[in-house]
Amino acid sequence: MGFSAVFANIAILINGFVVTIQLSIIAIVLGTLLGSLLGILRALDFRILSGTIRAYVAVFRGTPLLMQLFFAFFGLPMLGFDVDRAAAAVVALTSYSGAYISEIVYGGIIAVAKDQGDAAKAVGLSFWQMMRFVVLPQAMVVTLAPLVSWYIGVVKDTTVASVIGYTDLLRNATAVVAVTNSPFETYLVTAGFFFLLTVPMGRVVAILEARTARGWQ
Amino acid sequence: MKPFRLGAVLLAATLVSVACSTTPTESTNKSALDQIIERGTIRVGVIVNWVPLGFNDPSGELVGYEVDQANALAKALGVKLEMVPTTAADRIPNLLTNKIDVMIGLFTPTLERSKSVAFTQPFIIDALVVGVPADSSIQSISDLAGKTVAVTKGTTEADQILQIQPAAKPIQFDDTDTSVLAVKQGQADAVFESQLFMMAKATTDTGLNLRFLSGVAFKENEAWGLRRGDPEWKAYLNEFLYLQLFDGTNDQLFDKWFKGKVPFPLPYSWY
Amino acid sequence: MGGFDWGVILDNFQAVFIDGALITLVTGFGAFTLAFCIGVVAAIARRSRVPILRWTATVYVEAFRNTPALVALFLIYFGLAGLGLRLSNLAAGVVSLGLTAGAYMTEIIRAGLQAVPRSQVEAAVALGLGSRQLYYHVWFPQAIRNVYLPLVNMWVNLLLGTSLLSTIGVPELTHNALVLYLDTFRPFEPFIAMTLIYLILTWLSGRSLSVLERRMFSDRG
Repeated sequence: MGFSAVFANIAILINGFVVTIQLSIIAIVLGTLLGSLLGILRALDFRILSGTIRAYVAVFRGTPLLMQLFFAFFGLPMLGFDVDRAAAAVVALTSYSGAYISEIVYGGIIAVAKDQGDAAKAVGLSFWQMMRFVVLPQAMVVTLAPLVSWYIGVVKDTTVASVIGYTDLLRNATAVVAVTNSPFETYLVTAGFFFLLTVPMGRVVAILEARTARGWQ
Repeated sequence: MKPFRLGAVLLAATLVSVACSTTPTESTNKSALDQIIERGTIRVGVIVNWVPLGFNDPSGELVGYEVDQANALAKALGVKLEMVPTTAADRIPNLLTNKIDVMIGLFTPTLERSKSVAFTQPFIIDALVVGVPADSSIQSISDLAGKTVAVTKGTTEADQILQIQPAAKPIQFDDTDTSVLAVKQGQADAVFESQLFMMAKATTDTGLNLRFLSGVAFKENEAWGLRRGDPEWKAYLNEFLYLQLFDGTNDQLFDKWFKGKVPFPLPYSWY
Repeated sequence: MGGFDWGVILDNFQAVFIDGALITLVTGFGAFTLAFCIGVVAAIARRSRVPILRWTATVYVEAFRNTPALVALFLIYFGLAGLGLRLSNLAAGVVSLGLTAGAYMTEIIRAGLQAVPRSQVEAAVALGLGSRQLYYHVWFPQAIRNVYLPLVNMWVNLLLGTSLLSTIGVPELTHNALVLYLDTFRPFEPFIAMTLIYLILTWLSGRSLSVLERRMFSDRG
């Protein structure tokens, strides 16, 4: 009973923690790729493409992540895709993150483009030169803090994978609860594991925000 | 708003056409038996997180009653074993989409399910029992009226509870461990679960302290599940199970994992 | 697979989808109200000069911002019951979502309070407004107006966050749709219906809250 029982089973929790970290990294990388692509495409302002991207974002921001996960896990196999739990979790987290990140990236580009666009034109840069050397680098700087902030959310969101039985930290924690009969202690330790990830990331965000406010040199 | 609406329509149209055009992988005309032998691997659906049918031991390896059965089946076929972790909810979908060749474990044949998948002969009888805290005032099914009953999503218990006691209030949890936890902690007044599961739980969980309502044991056949339209595979599996029962292997395995004898005899002499 | 069986949806429409949507709305609203109240109290506490208040509020915010919502939910539903405090799944759900969202609310409201121009406060003091009246008539309306958009986002997040309550058996929309799938083994019909209803709910929220914003804040000089 109690914390000692939890720590007796710490190996199971650590295994789950490793899985959570792996899932988080994959979701962050793929989500950023997808989101950046969508954000940049949207900034190009081709009407139909922008409209489609906006529709995509509206759907993935307007529905719960858990629902999207069920769609991926239960629905995709019916369409002939061979998805196991891990794949379904990756697909759901990536498409969800991609929508939010595309907003962040798009917002960053727009914010910078407004200021810099006219200046660049005045100096004589072409559209692509402007994008490559002026807008995108600055946009990357501006979006860094919100991006990392979102990444913290992704790490926490990976817990939904436990609902479909994926052996992440939370699912393993529930299995440990069945053995220790100490849900409070077990879940508290689980939260502690997440702190190990989110607190340092939060520090990074704070540093980034301070730098952005001061202005990068 | 126009580009947005157009974009939304395009997106929806793409999704719908994808959904309508692809079909789940259709089984070829060859029996699964031949496919498995040809392939050299058998994919077996195993229930996870269900001590002692299939669970992770401290070193992380999947072990249990089902795992031993799966190993025996693979050995008999002379192929490699690939275990596919499955929960109660995705047993049928996994069979239908050809992710697994057979679903072992305690899969209850029902007429409703038999419209989608096929079953072997039952090889064990389980019972559904109502567990209440030892000090509860509930004594019979009629006492369950108005009480909360924990069940697991996607199981026969979830379907049955309202037929047994229409005035009960089921709370559907995602897995059996959680359902039992809920009644242990008093968040549900009772739990409606498989007797075999509760038997096994009692061996590992010393804090269980549940009393089971007598006269409430609804017996259920438990069998293995497979895809429909494959009589040869079904015949092979039936033969395998028959031999396991006939030579006492099943009893041995059961005793190893459940620490006791099979609670109910099969009601007909199949062997 | 080309044939969708929409009859399944229609047969069960009321019980599964309407009731589910209602529970979703009710729990979302309950959680939002709780989160808002907590947020106001904690935001004031964080700006307070009393160290213990500041410290408590900061610990609360950090704890709940770093804990995943699902873990907090299990802590409150199962964990507290293990310690003797039993909450029904509905109560635990609302409390848990409220506490988790409250941490974010605190920061939002704090930012809103901070952004109220000093001049407004000074003018009000000059007019003779007492401290409590100050808060009520000057600080808060302006603070809310400052952060109206983040507040709306919080509402949508909470509405969607109620889906997590399906794990403890609260019969909201996601739970009901999932059970319908498990009964029929047809994933698309229930899930598509669920998608549409969530989209309608979030869209309606967005629209009605914009209208509300105009009503509440446009009659300012």
